[in-house]
Amino acid sequence: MTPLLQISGLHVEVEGREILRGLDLEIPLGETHAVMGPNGSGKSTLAHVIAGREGYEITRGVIRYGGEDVSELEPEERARKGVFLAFQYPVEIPGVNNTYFLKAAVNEIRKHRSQPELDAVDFLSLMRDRVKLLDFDEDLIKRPVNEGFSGGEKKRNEILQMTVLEPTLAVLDETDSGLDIDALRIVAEGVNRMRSPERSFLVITHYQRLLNHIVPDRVHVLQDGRIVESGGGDLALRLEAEGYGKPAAVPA
Amino acid sequence: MGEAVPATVESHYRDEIPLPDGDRYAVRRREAVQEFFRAGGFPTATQEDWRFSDLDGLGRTAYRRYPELTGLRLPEPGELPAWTSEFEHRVLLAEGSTLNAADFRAGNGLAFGDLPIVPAEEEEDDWGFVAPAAETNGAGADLDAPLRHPLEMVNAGLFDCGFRVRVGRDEDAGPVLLYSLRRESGHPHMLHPRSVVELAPGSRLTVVEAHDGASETAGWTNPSTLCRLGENAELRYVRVELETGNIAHTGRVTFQLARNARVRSTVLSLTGGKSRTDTAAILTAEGAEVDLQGLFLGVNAAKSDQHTLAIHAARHTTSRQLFKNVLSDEASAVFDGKVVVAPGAIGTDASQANRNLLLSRKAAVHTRPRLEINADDVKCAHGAAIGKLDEDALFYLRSRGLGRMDSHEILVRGFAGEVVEKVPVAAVRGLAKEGLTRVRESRSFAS
Ligand SMILES: Nc1ncnc2c1ncn2[C@@H]1O[C@H](COP(=O)(O)OP(=O)(O)OP(=O)(O)O)[C@@H](O)[C@H]1O
Ligand SMILES: [Mg+2]
Repeated sequence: MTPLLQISGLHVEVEGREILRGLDLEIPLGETHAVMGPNGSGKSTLAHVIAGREGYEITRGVIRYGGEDVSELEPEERARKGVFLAFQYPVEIPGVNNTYFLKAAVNEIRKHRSQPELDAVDFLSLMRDRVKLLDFDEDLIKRPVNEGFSGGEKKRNEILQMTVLEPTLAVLDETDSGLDIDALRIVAEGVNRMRSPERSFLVITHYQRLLNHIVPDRVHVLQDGRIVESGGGDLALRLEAEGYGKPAAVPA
Repeated sequence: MGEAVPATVESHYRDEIPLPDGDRYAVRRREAVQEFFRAGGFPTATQEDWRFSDLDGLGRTAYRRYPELTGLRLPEPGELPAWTSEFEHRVLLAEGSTLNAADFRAGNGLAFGDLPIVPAEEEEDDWGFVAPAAETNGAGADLDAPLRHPLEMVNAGLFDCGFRVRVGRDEDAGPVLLYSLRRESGHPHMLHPRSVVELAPGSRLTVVEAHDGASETAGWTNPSTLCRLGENAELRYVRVELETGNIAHTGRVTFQLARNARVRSTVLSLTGGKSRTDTAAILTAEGAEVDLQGLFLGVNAAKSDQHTLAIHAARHTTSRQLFKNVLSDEASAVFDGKVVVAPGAIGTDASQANRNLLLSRKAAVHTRPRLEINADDVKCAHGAAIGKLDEDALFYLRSRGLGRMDSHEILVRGFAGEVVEKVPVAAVRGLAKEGLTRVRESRSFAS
């Protein structure tokens, strides 16, 4: 079966600088993969380029999603096909109400799946349910998107959005950083509850402790713009103990 | 009335143009005229306050007066746009005529009258205005500066319709709509509506002043509004600029506040032409507070100049200013905000912000904060920001499935919302929404 996400030979330039240099990565449907790697190695760049950020230029290689080359698709087109990115740094959007924004997003996605739009009542009961599951502060959903949220609240809001939008591929970019111990557990439970044979996760993290909660099927090491090593869950443990060390010499 | 001759402002002023019989203001009008010309007549772009306001031609154009000299009849209530019917009280600012006059007599704590009819002598008892020199121990501030504004004097001399709204002591009234509608007359014509809004001590009132209409031939609208608040009175004032076409709009609103009086004002500029509004607040006594806000939604070549003046003439007075511009296409805006703190006005708390969202490379904005602080122990903050839509925010919204156009629109609405949401009248918020739709449909949007 074709993997849900299939990235091959990917080179990406940002503002004229090459950040990803021949990256290969495959995630089969239903699997959860972790990507670890030093600061600045290109993890967020990978996450953004999967989500379709403008200005991230693919100079070589291809990103396939569900077998389709999505390299040229707009971010909203990818989202409607089921791609979701939980941002490392969620953006504050003053003046735009969290609930309003999320309802618009849900209905946009439903429209493209030929599902009927949710009315205010149905949407609110869906929100209530998810808010409760994530132990999210009810008041926060009435505020402008992320405005004045604490670091942890922002991360939790990303996961709240994920549970409402129900993506097929969820990329979580350092969702664990900034979360306290309880929040980490709640968020991890939220993610685990969503794991299914119909959904894949790409979890970017620096810390083994997240992977104690969200146990990955595979772990990849991203260094210097490419995946330099892949393995099972024990790879994360080894990295935690030994560090990344020098990047493996791969000819350019 | 004289013959239907177009004439320049200067000739309209000449004694040979007869003033209506029984116009008790005749003498004052002439004085205002004379003072205007003594003070130098029409301002030119070389004067600091008028750098960006092109009034060239206003003084030279031969205008007819409305409505007699233009041959237009006044609109009937049914001809007014639907949103105006949401108001309990409507006043048509043309020849002092009033619509649904029955409401006006009904009371509700309100008294209405044409300016020439309510005798000027019937002045308020002590409403608590304090002479600034006494209160501040200093040289005092120039409290009449807004009233010596050159175009204020033109209005005072030529006003063709005047209206007065008064709320009684401790009454709670409104919303009242003061509405001027300009219609195509086929000739250049000018309007000088004049309104006085008075709030007795302890009263509360919501007033919406709207200037509407379109004209292909050159038009000039030059309205003046004076709002006087007695002690502890509270005014919500909303001004809506809706004129489009070849109309020059120069308007003023001046607030005079006694002790502990409060004003919250919003200027919503939806002009399709060129518009300048001067908002002035005179805080004459301790505890007075103003919150002046503005929002311009500019498309095509629309231009909005917002000039503000907050005079802190007493101790412990507060002024807040927030003016926002959304500029698409070739729209342009000016924000010229002035705060004056009189000597002795200690404990003044003033802030001023001007934020601009440029949606097009051809849009332009000039912003100029001016602070004149002549007292100690004063808090005065100001800031201006000019920018495009935030790329990170756009990506964030789009990554959730929202389309490009929708994401742009959501961010623009969010930017405008800070001002729109505080507008206390739903009908006016509806007008702002229509303005936002025009922004979305503008040529440069999301380009
Ligand atoms: N807009 C940009 N312009 C120029 N360089 C950029 C831009 N965005 C990212 N980079 C650079 O690309 C490199 C990779 O950045 P990226 O954010 O992908 O790293 P990361 O692996 O996510 O790091 P971290 O662990 O700190 O989150 C860094 O050197 C960064 O400075
Ligand atoms: Mg990162």
